[in-house]
Amino acid sequence: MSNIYQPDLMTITKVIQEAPGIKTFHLKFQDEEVANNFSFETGQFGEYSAFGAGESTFCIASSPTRPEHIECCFRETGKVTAALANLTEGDTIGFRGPYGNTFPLDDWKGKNLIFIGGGIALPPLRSVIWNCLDLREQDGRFGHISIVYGARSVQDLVYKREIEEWNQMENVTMVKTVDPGGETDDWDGHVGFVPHVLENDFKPDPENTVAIVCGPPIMIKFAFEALERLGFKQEQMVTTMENRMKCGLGKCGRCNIGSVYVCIDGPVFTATQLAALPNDF
Amino acid sequence: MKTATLNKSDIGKCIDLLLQADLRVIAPRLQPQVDEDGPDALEVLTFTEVKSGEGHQVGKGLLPLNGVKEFLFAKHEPLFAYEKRGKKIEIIPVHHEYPQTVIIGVRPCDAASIASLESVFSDANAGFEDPFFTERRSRTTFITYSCTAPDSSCFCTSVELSPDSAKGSDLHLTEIGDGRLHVEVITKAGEAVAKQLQELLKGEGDQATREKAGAEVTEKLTRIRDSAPIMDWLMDTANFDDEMWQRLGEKCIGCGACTFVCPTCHCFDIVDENKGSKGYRVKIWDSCQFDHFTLHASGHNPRDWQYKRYRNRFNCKFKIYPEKFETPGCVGCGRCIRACPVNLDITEYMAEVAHKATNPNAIKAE
Amino acid sequence: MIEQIRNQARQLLENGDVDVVIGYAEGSDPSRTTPIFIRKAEDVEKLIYDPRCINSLPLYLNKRHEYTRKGWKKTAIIGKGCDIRAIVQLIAENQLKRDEIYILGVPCEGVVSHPEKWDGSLHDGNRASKCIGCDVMIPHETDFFPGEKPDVDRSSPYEATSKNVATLMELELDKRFAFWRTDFDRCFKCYACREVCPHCSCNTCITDETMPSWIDPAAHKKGVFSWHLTRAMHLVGRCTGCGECTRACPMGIQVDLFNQRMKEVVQESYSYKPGYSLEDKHPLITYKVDDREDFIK
Repeated sequence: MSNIYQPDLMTITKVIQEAPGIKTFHLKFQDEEVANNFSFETGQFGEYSAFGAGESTFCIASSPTRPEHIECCFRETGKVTAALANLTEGDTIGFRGPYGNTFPLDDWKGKNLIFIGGGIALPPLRSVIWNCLDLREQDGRFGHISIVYGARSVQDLVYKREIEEWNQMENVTMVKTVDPGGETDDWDGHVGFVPHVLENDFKPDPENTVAIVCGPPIMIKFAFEALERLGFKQEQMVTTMENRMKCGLGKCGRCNIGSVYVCIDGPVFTATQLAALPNDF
Repeated sequence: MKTATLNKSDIGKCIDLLLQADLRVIAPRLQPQVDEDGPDALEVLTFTEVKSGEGHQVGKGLLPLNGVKEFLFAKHEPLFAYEKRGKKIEIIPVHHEYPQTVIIGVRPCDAASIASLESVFSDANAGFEDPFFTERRSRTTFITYSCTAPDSSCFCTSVELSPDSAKGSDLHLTEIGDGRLHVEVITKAGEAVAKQLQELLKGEGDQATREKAGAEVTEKLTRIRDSAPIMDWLMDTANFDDEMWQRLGEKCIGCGACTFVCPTCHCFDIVDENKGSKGYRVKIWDSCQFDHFTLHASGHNPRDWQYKRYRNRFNCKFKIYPEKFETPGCVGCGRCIRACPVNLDITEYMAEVAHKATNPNAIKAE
Repeated sequence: MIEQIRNQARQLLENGDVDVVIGYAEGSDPSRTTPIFIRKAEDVEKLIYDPRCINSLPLYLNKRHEYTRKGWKKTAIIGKGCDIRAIVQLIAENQLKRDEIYILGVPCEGVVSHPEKWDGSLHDGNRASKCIGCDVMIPHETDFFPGEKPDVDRSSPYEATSKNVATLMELELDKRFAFWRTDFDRCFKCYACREVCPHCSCNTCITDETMPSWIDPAAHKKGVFSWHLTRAMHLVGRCTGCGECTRACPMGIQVDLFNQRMKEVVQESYSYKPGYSLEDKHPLITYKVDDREDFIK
């Protein structure tokens, strides 16, 4: 019988230092059959193991439209992430997944999209951003795409190269910001918290638009409130939750918000769904 | 249904017969104490693997402290081994023995909890099957024993069970007086075990006396709470912020005693036990009452006060289990009440909720 | 007696001298009592005191449980002598300030060892062994005491140890080890022993440390032994012997036997018993010229 707790092995093919304490891994399955059978959709997550330390939960930060490898991006905060950060190219990690639900791309056809993220919450958005950009490139299925992203300081911004790439794209609006005090002399973006910049500087039009928000619970709360003041309805707002998890399989009992298990029923939720949940996140 | 009678004094012989049939037998036993007669000593009754029919406590004492959970959902479960070789890792499966097991002397509340655990660990839950649980479950037979003397913490009748319930049982025993037991064969697994015990089982049972005995014991339960309106009240998310949670829960000290003795609590952690370049990934019991249980890497904790952790536990029993897993979350065994060092009593929460749910004068949040 | 305590508690609350009174109330069944936080003067009638009042309430003064004290500036607490020893020890360890606490001392005739053993009265068969030889039945450090406080000689550096420790120490080493193996086999690491302890005051308990992980979190032999033995070491010279760790253990493990044995060692080595002086530091963090040195070889 198959062991649901046993990971597949992956090789780290590339390590990128995104920001202080934040790294990206490019990962490839070691077993060819596993690689061939693997597929995922944007929004899903996995359990990544550093053998000897344990497992950590991160989203898959790459887009399914670019299947040559998968990526994860993490900040060093505890035992497992510290052990992961010590690994280098060619090292082996474990991966279980993909788990969870996905961003409802089919519902977004013909709509404008705004991605709103803060700090280390860009990786989950980055997967869906590239997914949407690539699909729009193929068949023009989405309208205008905007990205509002901020971090504590300039050096804390992740995917700096891609932020510039998005900035250069003609049919993408890139709004970048850093918290007050986090700017540098040559900073050409906004200064202010993400929800504030969203509401007062960017002021998106809610008409035929979906806003996808990712960040710490407090940022999600303020971003949703800002969006509502801008005229967005709850069904136009989507988020992905990052509750603490261990199994990813609906069994270990940690990630629940009321009867909703983020690992099984999430991590992607609309604001309408969140509003129906008890205040436990 | 097939029935028979069995002499109570033959239970030891039953255990011996099962052992002779190469079955692993688990039964309630008293554990040694430093000073048996001292004022600090309490009888410590636990389910333990037994090697003979002597000294068993089947039908004596009320509830073993540990319940049967640990024999299906191990306290410490190696999931696989790994070995690092340079940049490569080898994953080595761990060989698990799943011996055919009979647990004898299980009380009805504990037996009823098996289906709940199964609803979490089987593939009925999101299609993911925990093979360690299901392998053990499929090889375990439960011989249950109706209660005769519930104590002041028992409340099974408040959660739609009874001290003589055969729910979750394979072979059910009920005392019918004169040192005799009424035996009911409930399942095929129970029938297989009954076959092993054939030489001790006599004729037909006495259904009428059994029903009467069960009803008499049911009368002895004093702690009756109305659990019917609880789930509906909890479903109203506004009540999640009700004042009662903090008022009743502020004395909670955040140990995990209630969760670890609970027959339906299923939370676990996954950790690596490393030694040099090798190690095991293991699944170990964990508790939603611990402060770091839901702590995010960012430092944010959705349940930052102890009363919120207990609120989760209560919701898990009376809302999450029935809503998400469609099984009861509480079987009324009363272990959490007996175990709580500060007398935090789940039935006081039940009473409070039932009162709020049914009392029209209670202030209901919008 | 309890009427005087209630009156004093009422006055303290009415005058705004304290924000809360921590005491005991009737529990959810007749053999049990429960900790209660009284904030309103009219609720003082709920306060009780009798031999069923087992809990060591000072655990709520410990900063590990600080969330219970959010917004409280001054706390009154009902204490039997052994609990007041815990308060005194917390103060001596700078975990608490004396003027944050108002101690309502109660005369104590001993408490029952477990609620299960309560049969309506206290007697030799159910009196907790910690109460035998107790010299703080009339408590030492109080702000209020109902009636006259007689003088009690507490000069002996030795306190009685339960018969259990002697019984265990008489066993051959391998038998003693076998006893603990059987007992620890039941431990599932719920940490009730830690959470009821007034002295487990570390911000992060060593068993919750992950970098590095000093103690295996699993409840297997290694994880359980290292947890209980480490905890015993952390309490050497600090444990005031309330016995709550044993009383709270849901699996009937007599955890406090370690602490009692260590207490004997500290008494023999340093003539010290914790919880009697607001100033004295426990011997393992101090040095005195006349400390024993004969173990240095």
